[in-house]
Amino acid sequence: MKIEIFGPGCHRCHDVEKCVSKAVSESGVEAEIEKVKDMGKIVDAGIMQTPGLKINGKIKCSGRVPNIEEVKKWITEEK
Amino acid sequence: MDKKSVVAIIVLVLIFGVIIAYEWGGAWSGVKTTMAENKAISAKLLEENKIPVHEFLIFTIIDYIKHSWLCLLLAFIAAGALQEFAPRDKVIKLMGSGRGFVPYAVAGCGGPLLSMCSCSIIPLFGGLYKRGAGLGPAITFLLAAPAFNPAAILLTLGLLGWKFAAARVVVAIGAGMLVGYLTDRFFKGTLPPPEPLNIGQEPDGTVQENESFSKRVANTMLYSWEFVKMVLPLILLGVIGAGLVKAFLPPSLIVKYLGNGILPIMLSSAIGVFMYTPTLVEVPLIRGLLESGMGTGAAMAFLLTGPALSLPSILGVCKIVKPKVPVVYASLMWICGTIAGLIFWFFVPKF
Repeated sequence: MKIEIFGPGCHRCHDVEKCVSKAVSESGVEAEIEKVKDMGKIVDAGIMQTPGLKINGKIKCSGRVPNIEEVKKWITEEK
Repeated sequence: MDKKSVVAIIVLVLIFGVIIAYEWGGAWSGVKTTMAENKAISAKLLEENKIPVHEFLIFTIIDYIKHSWLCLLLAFIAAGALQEFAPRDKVIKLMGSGRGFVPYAVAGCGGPLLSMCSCSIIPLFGGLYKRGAGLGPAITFLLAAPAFNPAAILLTLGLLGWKFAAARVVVAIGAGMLVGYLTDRFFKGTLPPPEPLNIGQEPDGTVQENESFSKRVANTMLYSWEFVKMVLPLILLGVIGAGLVKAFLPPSLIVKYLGNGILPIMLSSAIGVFMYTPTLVEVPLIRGLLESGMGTGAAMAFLLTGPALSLPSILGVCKIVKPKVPVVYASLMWICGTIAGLIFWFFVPKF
């Protein structure tokens, strides 16, 4: 599973990182977490509101910090 | 209703109750000092030269908190409410669809609905541009949004007074729309159209409309708290900076380079274009400079260009459009800042 976190590195983006790594360890899946900080790449990925989250190439949320339960749900959806 | 929502609503009602009680009871009116008195106190403290610098800094912090706590509190709640309730997806659609004047107006006035955090503006700019919103409205949004968000305006109201707050709103929207339009004309037909995005998926509706109202109020409080954590340390830094300016920079130097007149206004506008000023920090900093003799025109110029532009933001935009685009709009913005400063100086010659 490939998880991408989009954001230039502000406070909210770190919250998403923490949330995702927790959700991954709690669901016990193998996931490759990538942090995308380059503005050009964020825009090309179709993320308009940071922080953004993609799982297996699909935008799961943008412009807000998701909670752990949501992320776990998305992870099981994409398994 | 779950427990969290109830607690959030009670906290919200309590906060507003306290605010209204304080203002009606006039509890703070006896404590508030006017700008002139304040200047005299600062001057006296420094002249006597007996006050150590750290005490002077504490005096500055307490003084600024006294002037701005109410506006600041409202600003944080407004920021949280916008984050939760603003119809962001609709605003984005509206900005990209119309022709002529409408997208500019939406971009100029709708900025605060879309973004509170200045670091999230560049991807929005890029997304708008690549989705075909046109270069002009995208630039308008980029320039107007940071200067015209409710938090910044409320803090300006608290620390600098209503004249600065009103002028900031008018100038930010006006200059944003003008610079966006002019840049668009300048590059008409010379830029290759942006490569269309191939994501095969519309951005999801990120706002959860189906949640109950009380849950959304609870979310508002959470977002407000997030905003407090993010911004309050920066504001304190700005206040300490203002205190240091007042304590160490001789007023004669500030009067010479940032006082009244066209050259100081041009200089202040240029500093604003390049310097990185995090949201809200510009307000206490400018107040400190004003108390030490900065001209009103120079202050207005900085309030316009400071939050709208910075070297890091220009470099970030260069990754999305050709570098000549930011060069053009930065120069136009510098001119706009100078003109806005001159006009403001004409109407409000004294702080």
